[in-house]
Amino acid sequence: MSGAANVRGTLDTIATCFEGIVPATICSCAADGTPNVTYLSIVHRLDDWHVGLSYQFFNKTRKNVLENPMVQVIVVSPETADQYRLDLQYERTEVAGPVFDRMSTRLAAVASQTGMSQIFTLRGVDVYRVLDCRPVNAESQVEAAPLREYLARVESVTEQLATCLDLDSLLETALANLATLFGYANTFVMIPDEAGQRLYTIASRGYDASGVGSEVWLGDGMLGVAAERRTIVRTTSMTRDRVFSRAVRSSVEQSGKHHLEQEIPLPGLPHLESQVVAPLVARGELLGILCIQSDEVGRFLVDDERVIQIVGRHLAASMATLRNPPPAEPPAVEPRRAPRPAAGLTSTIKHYRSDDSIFVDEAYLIKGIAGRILWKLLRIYDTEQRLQFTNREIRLDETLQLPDIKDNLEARLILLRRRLADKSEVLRVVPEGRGRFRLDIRHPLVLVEHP
Amino acid sequence: MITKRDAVESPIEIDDTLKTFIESGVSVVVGTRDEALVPEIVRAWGPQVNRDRRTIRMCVPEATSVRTRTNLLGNGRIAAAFSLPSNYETVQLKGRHLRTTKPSVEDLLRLDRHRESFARVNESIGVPRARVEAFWLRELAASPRFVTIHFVVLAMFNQTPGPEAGAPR
Repeated sequence: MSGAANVRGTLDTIATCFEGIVPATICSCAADGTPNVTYLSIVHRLDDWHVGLSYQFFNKTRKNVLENPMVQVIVVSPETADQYRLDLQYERTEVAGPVFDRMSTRLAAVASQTGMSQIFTLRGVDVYRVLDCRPVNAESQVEAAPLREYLARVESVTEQLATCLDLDSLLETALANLATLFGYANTFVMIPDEAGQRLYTIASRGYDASGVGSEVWLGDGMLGVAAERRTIVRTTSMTRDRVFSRAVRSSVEQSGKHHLEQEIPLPGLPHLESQVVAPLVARGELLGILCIQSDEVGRFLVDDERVIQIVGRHLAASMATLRNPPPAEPPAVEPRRAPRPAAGLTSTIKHYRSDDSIFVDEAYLIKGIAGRILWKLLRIYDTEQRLQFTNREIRLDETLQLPDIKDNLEARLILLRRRLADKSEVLRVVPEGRGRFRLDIRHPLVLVEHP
Repeated sequence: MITKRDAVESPIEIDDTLKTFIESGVSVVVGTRDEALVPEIVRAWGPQVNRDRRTIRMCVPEATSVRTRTNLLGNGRIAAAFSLPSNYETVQLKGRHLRTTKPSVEDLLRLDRHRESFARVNESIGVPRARVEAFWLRELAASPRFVTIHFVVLAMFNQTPGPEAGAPR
């Protein structure tokens, strides 16, 4: 059978069947005529005439298709609950290329999240030609899925991003527009630390606590793998991913052949089901990740992935542009002397030089470059009673030993400002126009330095 | 009824643990094939392990199982997978078709109980009951009537996902 003419409904019209929201089933048949039927987590639509199945383990289905290439798959629409039979013919196995890379990254992301990196590896993508696609109920009509008109809204987001003059407003604008225009209520952006080993949250929207400063290691979990491989990763049912992984984990542990890692808690929503993680890459450099989350199964589909991919690319390009020092940054202002806060309640600020961590009244606040900058500001305040500063003087201050100028000072200041707003009643960093900010100190401080 | 040929193929006895599993809120699919070895799948409901512990009966939608039943009449080869959505524990039974009958009242009552168990298991992993019910309604719209297929079990395999999947049970 040559195929294409027999496909009554093109796969595009039943695109949501290939989202992995409802498990699929596959039946193959050995050369001796014995059928074999089993379940599939997901069937990947490659184009209108081909689907791909992941090849991880050499199982009976795979043995059968090498003997007899004919298989049948049933996929289910999560929207209408209609079932579709796909008659398929095995064509080839791909072990490299864009399809392989994409499936491999998604698998690695789930594997890392669930502590199964040693077990879940993609050996190949088995490519099947679709010979026929028909509703299980032959009377069902295959109708074109409604097109989701996103273009106008994507245009609007990118227009808004182009007006932003600093990183802070850029991130706020991006997350606010994703919420209002697309209904993505839970979003955050993470950026790499100075060593490029971890990602930390710099902006978030829609969570009980802002989570600013929370971290993941590059390469760890869905977020870390998406960042490390610079590939977008989408999941439609985290519970199913987890249940599937635990089933394999249980089977592997019984065999006693592997020592498995632990599951990693996912940052963000407590009952996360759907997630898209897009790497923020500009000029070939990883600037961070943009993540959208939902506690609804199947909330983010292919169109949502495209939106996040496009918005993420614009966001990254804008971040790359903004992190270069603006040419007309204002000179340092004549410092305004501040009256010391009224005596009475005092707070103790401790600085540990070993990692530049800062503790306010014994509570951890921040570390790294942002901690070093805060300590510098507090020392200036202590000796000069000065409260107003410019980004420029911080950037040029050699005693701070800031890394390469490409490292984003503004990002550290945003992190510092948001962490203070989240964690401290005593201190605030308040923006005062482009390239300037002010330190607000609520009551007298005692500064203590430790090695 | 187990025939002389089935006896030669050594029917396998299903123990209490597996019987309980098969009759729980599992998802059930049946695989068959035609004379050209082209496979066909249909979903099944209300599986029961008979008293002889070697044969199983289950219901399939009449209108959507035409090819399945043609295949069963033609060559009798059948595979059925039972999978619990809450932990993906999966068992596959392979065997030979015995006969197809109209469903008894007990078959239909068992079918309803099975659907209820299936909904509860899905709810335990966050799948809304409405989604499962929508699935049934679409199936019923396609085929309001069912038939009962009976088969003898000749082989059992562990099919829980992982490197050990496919091992004889």
